[in-house]
Amino acid sequence: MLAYVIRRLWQMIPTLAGVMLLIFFLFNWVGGDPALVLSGKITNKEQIENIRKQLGVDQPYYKQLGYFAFEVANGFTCTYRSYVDADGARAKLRAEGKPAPCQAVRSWATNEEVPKILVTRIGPTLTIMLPVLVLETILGVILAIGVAYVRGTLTDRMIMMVCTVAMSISFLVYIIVAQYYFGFKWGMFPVQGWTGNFWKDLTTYAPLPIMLAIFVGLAPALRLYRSFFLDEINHDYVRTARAKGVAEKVVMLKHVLRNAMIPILTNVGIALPGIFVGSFLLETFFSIPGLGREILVAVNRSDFPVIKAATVYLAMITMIINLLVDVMYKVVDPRVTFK
Amino acid sequence: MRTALAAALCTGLLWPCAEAAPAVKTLRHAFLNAETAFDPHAVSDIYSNAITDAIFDPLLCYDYLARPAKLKPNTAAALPEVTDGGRTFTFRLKPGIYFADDPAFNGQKRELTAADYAYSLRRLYDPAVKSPWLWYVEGKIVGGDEAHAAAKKRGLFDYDAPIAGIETPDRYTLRVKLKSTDYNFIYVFATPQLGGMAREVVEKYGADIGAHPVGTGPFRLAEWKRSHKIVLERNAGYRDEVFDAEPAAGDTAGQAILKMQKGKRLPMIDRIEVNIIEESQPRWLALQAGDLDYGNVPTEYAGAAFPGGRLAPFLARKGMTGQRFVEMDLVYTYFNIDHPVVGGLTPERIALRRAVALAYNYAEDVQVIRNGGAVKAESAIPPGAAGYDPAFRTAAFQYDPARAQALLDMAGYKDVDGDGFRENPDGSPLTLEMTGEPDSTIKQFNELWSKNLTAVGLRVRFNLAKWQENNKQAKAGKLAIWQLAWSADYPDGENFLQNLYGPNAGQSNFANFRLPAFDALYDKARGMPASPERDKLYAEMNRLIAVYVPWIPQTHRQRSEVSHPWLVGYRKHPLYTQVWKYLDIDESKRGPRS
Repeated sequence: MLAYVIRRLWQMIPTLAGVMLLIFFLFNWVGGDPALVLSGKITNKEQIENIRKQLGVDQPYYKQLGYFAFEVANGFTCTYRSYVDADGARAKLRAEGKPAPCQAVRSWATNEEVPKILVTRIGPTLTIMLPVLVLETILGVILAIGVAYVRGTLTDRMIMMVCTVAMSISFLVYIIVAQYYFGFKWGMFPVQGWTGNFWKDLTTYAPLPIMLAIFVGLAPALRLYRSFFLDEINHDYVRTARAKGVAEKVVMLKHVLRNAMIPILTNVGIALPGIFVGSFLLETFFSIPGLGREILVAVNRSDFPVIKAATVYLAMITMIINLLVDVMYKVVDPRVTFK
Repeated sequence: MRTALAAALCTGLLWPCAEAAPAVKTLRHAFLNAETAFDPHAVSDIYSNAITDAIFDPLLCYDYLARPAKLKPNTAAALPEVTDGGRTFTFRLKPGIYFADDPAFNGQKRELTAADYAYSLRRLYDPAVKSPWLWYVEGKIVGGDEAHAAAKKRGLFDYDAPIAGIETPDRYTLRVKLKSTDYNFIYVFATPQLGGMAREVVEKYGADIGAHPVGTGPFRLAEWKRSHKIVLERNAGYRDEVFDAEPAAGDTAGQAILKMQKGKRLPMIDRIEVNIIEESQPRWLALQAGDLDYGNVPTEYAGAAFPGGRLAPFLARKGMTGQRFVEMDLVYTYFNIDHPVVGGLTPERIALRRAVALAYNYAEDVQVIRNGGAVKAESAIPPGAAGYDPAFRTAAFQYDPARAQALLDMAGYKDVDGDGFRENPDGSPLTLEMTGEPDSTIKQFNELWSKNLTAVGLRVRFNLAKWQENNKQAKAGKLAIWQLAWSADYPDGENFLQNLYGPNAGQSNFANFRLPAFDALYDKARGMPASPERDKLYAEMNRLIAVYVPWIPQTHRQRSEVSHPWLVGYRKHPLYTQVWKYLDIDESKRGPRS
């Protein structure tokens, strides 16, 4: 297993290189010119060129790509320019007997350090998305096993119909309607807000967005998990268990549930990286200072350092979670072997 | 029980009680977009500027209630002495003004001096700052451009090297010398970019200066959760300043505010909490719920909030008050005069542009697309700006499709092949190319243009791209027609007319309009102070715009704002994004918050 994990870790390097190439060329082809975003109302060509020079986007592509690789290798905590001490700032600090750290990569728009942006925005995102994933999975599994148990009945059909209708309505509509009625009209939740205090946020500002995300995510999860359970219910081992007189509850919870957990785990594994990015719709409508909203702002501002860091971060998380999910298969199903 | 005990203790029988602390007056407001940072020289968005405006103190400011906007001294003892035929501005500072405390001052009180303003001016020239406000001073101050060029060459700006046009003869005197006469340069001294900035603070925080704004203004930054929440607190060391203003004698609302607030010490509120709420619905709901004290009514709710132009009863019942006012801005469509299809100064090209202007239904723009939230523009200068003439009218910018058709026929733009669309006078196909952005509002404008132009037989094609990309193409002179808006940087028509000044082609003059007659009028007007004579020159320039049609002035946008009854003395200023210094809050009237 260790050899398998090490091999998978090595495989991450070319994958990450591919992601970096893709984001670099996509940004340079379709992204706006950052110098024009940063320049004022009245600018001339010289000023635009000065800004491009300051940002380093006047360099040839291969150099920019090299700097990008250097930044990724250093976790965005050191720019190439500060590493080679291009402006002598570190040498000056050393001469003064002061610590001379590398300069972290900074946002072009706000000048904030990029690693700090990721670290400070991830908390609110997880405060919303982690409960959503956990509750959605638990509720989805419980309801799906119940619906599978009464498969083919009027209850099953009615629930499936409700799920289909729920899935056909846009998430935005749920947000707008719920915010108006639950937040404004009936005053059950705040319309929007966030304090930075974990418990206050979790108990006061997060419940409505969490409920909405669960409500929207539950319908497809329920339909999917129900199909996993129905697949298992029709297998021979289930029929054999029933023939042996095993109670239906035991059949469902012990045999069917355990085998259906493999595809459920795969599904949760696919959804897991998403919780680290968040829902930009929820974050913008409920004024939650999360990562999804930050990425959206960065895209609108052509803030390439933030876009680059967020993309690399998401790619890394996705690869690591995929590896963890593969390892989890072994825990859930001892028949799985690593090659 | 506890309350009773506390009351008993407070009777003074047992021991004297301290007086209850006065309620902290907190103003709650929301921005529509995230701020960037608070370095006044480096930021250009209006939200960051609103904050720097509360922290930094320029030499001059605008009177809160005077309309039209009027300059008055802020940290300066008086308005500047303008000598040398409008080329030298000499300011004398009020002594005894101090910066808010900061570790950069090593525990010492730091007085504001003329050198701090000189430093601000120099910083605009520093290439490393990448200041979007360089245009305020570029080509204007004696020696400034040379210092900028030298810094670009050396890679470092020398703040100790003298600049001939920026002098501080003594601790409290600042003298700025211009290369040529520019009476409007005085407005630069009322912007937050020209607030006094302490050099030692900038040097201490280096690249993080945007997170450490330290000024002499009425507020200081207390808390900042980037892109989420900004908290300002009263600057405890703010100088002695009391409310005073000069509303016009017939300005009832202004006089009422003056009567109520006159003599009160500024600022009156203790704390300002600004949240970033990008979406219209939560912002509007939070405003109605009392989570915000005042704010702009999002365009999509403006009709419901002000039916028939009056505040809706459901808002009035909450005790809210409303204001609607025309912004000092201009929405216009420009033609690139260098473009092979729509450009040029030949009679047929002028006729084509005039026909496009006559084909446009301005009333539909105002009533349908803007939902009544705009007024039709009659010239390039908006109401409130010096040089605006409410009587100015021209037949060139009125909806008259019949005249447009006649003009096109006369100029030779006829439908030769019978496909319903006109061809060029030489018989070649004619397609107008309009540029826009892929958003819902621009889509409505494009539909209106398409309908109006098709009605007069002109074929139009729309090229959609992100605003930055369009901006890049416009600067390169590659666009033919593009709709833009310009908001006033200062209250003078020159700020709008400079967008058609020949030497500004490729910069702010996207139309690449180079008309010697226009440029001569502009040059002459720039050398004159505001006066009826100068207004005549502005009117003449407006007439040239109507004749050659490099622009179609469309509308001046109207803004709708509401405020709660506990907010005292609020009135929107035509130039300031915020007027927090002049506001008071009656906390006893504040309702329960959601």
